Amino acid sequence: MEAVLAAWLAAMLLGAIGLPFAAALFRRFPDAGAGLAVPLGLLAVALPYFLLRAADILPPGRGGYLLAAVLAAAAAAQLAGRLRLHRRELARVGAGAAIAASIFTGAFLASAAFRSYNAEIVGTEQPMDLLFLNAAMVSPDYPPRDPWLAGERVSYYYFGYLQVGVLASIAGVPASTGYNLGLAATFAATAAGLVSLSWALARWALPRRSRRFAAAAPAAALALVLFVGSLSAVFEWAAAHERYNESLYRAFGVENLLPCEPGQSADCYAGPPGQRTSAWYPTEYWFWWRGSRVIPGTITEFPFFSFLLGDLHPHVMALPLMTLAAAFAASLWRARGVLSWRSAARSPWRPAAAAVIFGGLAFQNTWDVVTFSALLGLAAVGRSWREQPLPRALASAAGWLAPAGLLALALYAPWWLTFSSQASGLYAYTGAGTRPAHAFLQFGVPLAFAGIGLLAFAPGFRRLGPAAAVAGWVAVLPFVGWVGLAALRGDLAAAAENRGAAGWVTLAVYGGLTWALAALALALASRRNGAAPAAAFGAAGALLLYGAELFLVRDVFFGSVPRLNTVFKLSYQAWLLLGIAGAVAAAGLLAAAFDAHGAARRSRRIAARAAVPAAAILLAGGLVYPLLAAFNRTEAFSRPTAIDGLAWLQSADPGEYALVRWVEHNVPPGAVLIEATGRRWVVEADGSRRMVDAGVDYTDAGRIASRTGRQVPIGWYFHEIQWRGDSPANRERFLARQDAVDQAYLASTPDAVLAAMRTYGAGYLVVGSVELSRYPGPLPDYDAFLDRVFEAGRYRIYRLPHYEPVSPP
Amino acid sequence: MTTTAASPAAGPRGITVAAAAWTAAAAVYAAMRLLAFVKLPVGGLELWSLSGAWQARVGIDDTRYVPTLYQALTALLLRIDDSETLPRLAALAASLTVPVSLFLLRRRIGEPAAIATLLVLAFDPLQIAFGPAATAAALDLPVIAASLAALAVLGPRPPVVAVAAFLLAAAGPLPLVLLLGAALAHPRVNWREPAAAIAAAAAALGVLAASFGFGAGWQGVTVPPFDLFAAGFDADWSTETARRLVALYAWGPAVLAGGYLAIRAARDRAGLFSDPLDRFAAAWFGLSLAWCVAAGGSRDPLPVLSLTASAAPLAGRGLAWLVESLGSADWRRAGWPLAGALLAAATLLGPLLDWARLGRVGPGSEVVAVVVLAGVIAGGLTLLLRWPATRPVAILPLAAAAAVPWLAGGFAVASGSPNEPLPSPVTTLQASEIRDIVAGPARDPSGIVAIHPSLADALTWPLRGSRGLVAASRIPPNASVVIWEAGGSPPDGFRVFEGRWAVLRERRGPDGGFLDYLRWLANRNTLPVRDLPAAVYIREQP
Repeated sequence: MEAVLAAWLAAMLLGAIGLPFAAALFRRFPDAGAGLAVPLGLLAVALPYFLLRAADILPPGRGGYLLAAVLAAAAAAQLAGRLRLHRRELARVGAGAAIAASIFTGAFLASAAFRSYNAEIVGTEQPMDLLFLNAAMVSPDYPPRDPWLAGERVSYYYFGYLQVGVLASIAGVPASTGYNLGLAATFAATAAGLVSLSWALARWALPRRSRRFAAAAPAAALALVLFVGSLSAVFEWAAAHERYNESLYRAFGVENLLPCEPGQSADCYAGPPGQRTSAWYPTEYWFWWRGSRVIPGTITEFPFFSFLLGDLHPHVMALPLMTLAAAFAASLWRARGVLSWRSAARSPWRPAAAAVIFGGLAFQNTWDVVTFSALLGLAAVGRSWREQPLPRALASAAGWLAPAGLLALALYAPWWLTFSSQASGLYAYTGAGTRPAHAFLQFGVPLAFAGIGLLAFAPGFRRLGPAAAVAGWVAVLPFVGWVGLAALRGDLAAAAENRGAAGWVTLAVYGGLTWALAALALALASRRNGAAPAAAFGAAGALLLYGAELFLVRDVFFGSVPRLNTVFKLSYQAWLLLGIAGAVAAAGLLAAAFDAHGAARRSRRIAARAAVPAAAILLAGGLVYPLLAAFNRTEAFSRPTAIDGLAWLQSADPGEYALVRWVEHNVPPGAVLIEATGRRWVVEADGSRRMVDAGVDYTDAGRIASRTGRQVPIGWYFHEIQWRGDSPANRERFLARQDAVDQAYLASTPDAVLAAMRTYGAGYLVVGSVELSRYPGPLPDYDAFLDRVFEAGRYRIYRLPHYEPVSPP
Repeated sequence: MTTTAASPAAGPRGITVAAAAWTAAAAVYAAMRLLAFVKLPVGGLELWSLSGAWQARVGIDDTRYVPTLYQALTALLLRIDDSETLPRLAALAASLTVPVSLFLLRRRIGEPAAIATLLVLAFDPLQIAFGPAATAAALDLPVIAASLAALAVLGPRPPVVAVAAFLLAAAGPLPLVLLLGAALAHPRVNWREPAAAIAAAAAALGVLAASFGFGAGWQGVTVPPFDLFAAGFDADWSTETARRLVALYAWGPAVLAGGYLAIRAARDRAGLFSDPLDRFAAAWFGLSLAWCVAAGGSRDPLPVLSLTASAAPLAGRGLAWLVESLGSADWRRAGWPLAGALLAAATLLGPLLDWARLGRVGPGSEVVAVVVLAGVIAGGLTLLLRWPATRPVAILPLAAAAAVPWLAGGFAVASGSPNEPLPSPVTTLQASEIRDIVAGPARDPSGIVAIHPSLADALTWPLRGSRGLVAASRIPPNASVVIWEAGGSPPDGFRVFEGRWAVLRERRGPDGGFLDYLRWLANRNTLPVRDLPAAVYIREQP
């Protein structure tokens, strides 16, 4: 509880630091942007920390983080002194801060409580997440060292880990606790940000007389973005209780839930016949995992799934920053005046803020920067277009955006210089298209709600017509691009055939919705209607889904599941944008349906009233997933609770836990250790030893590095390949490291052990549970040539003998 | 209290009350520090700092050398004399400038408040322990006070700003809190003024000088306040944590300062802290408190030092206000409730001290009596608080309750009592004796002295001046003297050098709850001490 309170206080402090920045950037928001204060505060601390650490000005450790917070607080105080807020604005800031703090607190405590039922950092890629968090927190120099590849820097987008490191360090909690509290803070900051943004968008979108309905938008945004899940959960629930209709299940593409036919073993339910659950919710282990794998060959994660699973991945940690970026774009569009080189020179702080936010987005989850920068560009052009012809508006906006882009590159240069992207080009997707049923199950709720915007805000066919003609290109151009790319590779005919009829239907639906929402956004923007940003977000969200059907970014999975990451990352962004758009549309729908004094015409009111129950049913369907999944994940909230992600280890293997904590407290952060590679060896009949399992990824290999941030020669082999490139040189290099480390445990002479240690600058050697299980047979007699510095049962840590002159000879 | 503004024609020249008060307060301030200068053993942060300075002096890289201006000066002074005397003298001299700075600030903060502030600082255990101590942060408070005084008297003139910025950039972490407090309290600094540019340039010069170790060689980019601030979270500069040091020594002035702020806030509702000085002092105090909270679990006394330093001006103003208010209080109405409360408090002490001595709560009848007496005290105070004219009187018993343990702590620390956890851990006489062994005839001059790594840091200062020291986890073949962890048998070829060797002595505060604390207050000679034992082995002569 103390750790939770400390993290909450730290988040409040960060919010206080971010508040003046929020008030400066989002003055037109009803809460003066207070809901976005936490991510802004995190940026205000994390960026100077990163730069000053890279320049070796700030010291490592908790003190460095606190110093960065001190510097950010001083800057925030100076900014607050310069904000000339009227009394009413001050009151708005105060009320906004109170609301934001309440939402953040409620969401943070609820999320931390939920997480406490599954606090263990184990399985999936959670050890990797803990590794990066530890690296960000304890690395003796910056950019941080890669704990799984001694001597090298991290080659990943780790700004999110750095931000969670800010929170954990200010709170004074270890990384294993900070991990869980970081997840809770991410959830809470997203919630507060969504409330702020959707409230503002809804107020802008609704006529003055209907603004009371704007209050529905924050609630809808929270539900649509953070809680709604895959509609497949409805089928899961029915199947668990043995209530299914075979043809319906086949129609919706969830035949994998049907009992296996004789002779069938894959893609069907192979368990015993009868009821599959012992409770009202499905009790099958991790049934909810299937909700993120509905579309074959892809990952279709959504925010609730992310928080349920508990992987502290960049795309999850980026949610608050994505919301902030969307808010920045909307706020930029809403303000007046041409954006140009001159306006940037006149008030440089705004492009500087754009550089910090959007540059940070690249550093936090590189996939996001393209989408949200496009939104920023659109907002800049749209704003200038109100006062200039389009060509001049484009030129003016470019003049404003260029310095922001250059500054973004400069500010995050220490990261760009050490990051090696594994994306290797844009390709036409030539495989099977997504079935409409799968698309509906996965994205039906947010898409439908975003689509409601057409009903709520469409200005009538006469006004929509010209905009539709222009917006048609938004849907047509990507398709033309796809045809061109596919034709270039000579795959066009095969691609058209592979997509299949169902795939073409889905593509048409996505394209049609993109077109319609883009037309709506254009029509509204041309009249400076406040609903335009929401419509644009909806169009962008639909475009992302449409784009992911047409293209893929080539990466290391190209040979096996080519569009896995493309669909995963783009649909995640789409979920957020569609959710925000859908929330504003929901408020608009309610206003159109129930505002007796509203401006809605009778036909629209009737249509809106008809749509309300349909939308409610759809929303209820989407909320089935979180309800069932939450109970399944926590075993009806009966699992033991903890907030330390390593508490499970303390009870499961106290010796190993003590070993980890000893390393944490006694081994210098810059030290290199030798620990098991994770490859499994057996003793042959002749006494020799043979490797029988080389798979180390997703296992407990590299666990000391992950849990302490200390470097080891090699950790998860294939992940390093993913981060640094699948080249023969890298494979050879990593394999050599694995061989050398294995020799440190298999060798019969001290020389081989010492050689392995010296080659990688290792000062320590660990003999814990993994070493004892992976390397059978007698281990070398380390006591003969190393110092035993830790002992707990059979577990040991050895250190190279110490010899250091401490006075003149 | 009269002021110094006496007219020359007012009569025969004499000593004003203010002058007498200044003299007395300054004398007490100086006496307490002189006493500490003579009596305090080298320990805690001072031991760490002296060790670092010594290593810098002999040219050995050591993370304990954080080149603040003072530590660089210490390294220089150790070339003249290898004892702590000269560095301590320098620290003492610097700390004796604080009364002068306060005197110069008296017009800004009010003369009675300035004198009270000096008195608070004079008796404060933390300030006494660190005033004449040769710690890396020894110049922090003197530089803060002098900078404020110079800015108040001379204004932000370029030379003043430049010198202050240079000194603050080359000092320890205490000025950081002050500067942030200034940024919060005065958020409209005009960065385009020449003074700002001069300050930035001078601070950069300070950082540059520190980065070159003030002549000791390139240390990498070094901002001493940053480095010391960060080091405090991981270092063992005190046996007790910051949180416990506050509970043992610093809660008195902190409560007084907090109480004063609360009263000001209650009385100044229309414009909360409209007085810039109050705002600044409140920000400084609040941030020091935040530092104490953030670093509560670390063994770093500097946040507590910052807390009492920042509490002193507020406590001083509070005391001055209290004295003034007591003069106008309705004593006739306050008399009986106050007497009742004090009498009850005095009676209450009896059973409480008895329980503390026994280490357990007494029988039920005593518990009932204590509860009743506590009720009487609470009732008396409630009555006093009820009437506006007697409210200041209610503070009197509370202030006295805060002052007693605080003053006791001040005197105990100043007199170098062996049972104070401040400073701790301290170096021992045996450690100095080991130095004689290392340098004496028992050692083969061609051999080296092997020190176990776990003892090496503790022995840097006691063994200063010795040659051929090596921290080694295995005994090298050319070792002639071995200083090792106690409890083992002598290595082959070595014999035990008889004696009970302890290289460090730790003194922990009372940790058994309130009764234990009370027992320590009543009798300070109750704390357990723990030694870091060592074994000394000498190579046997063939």
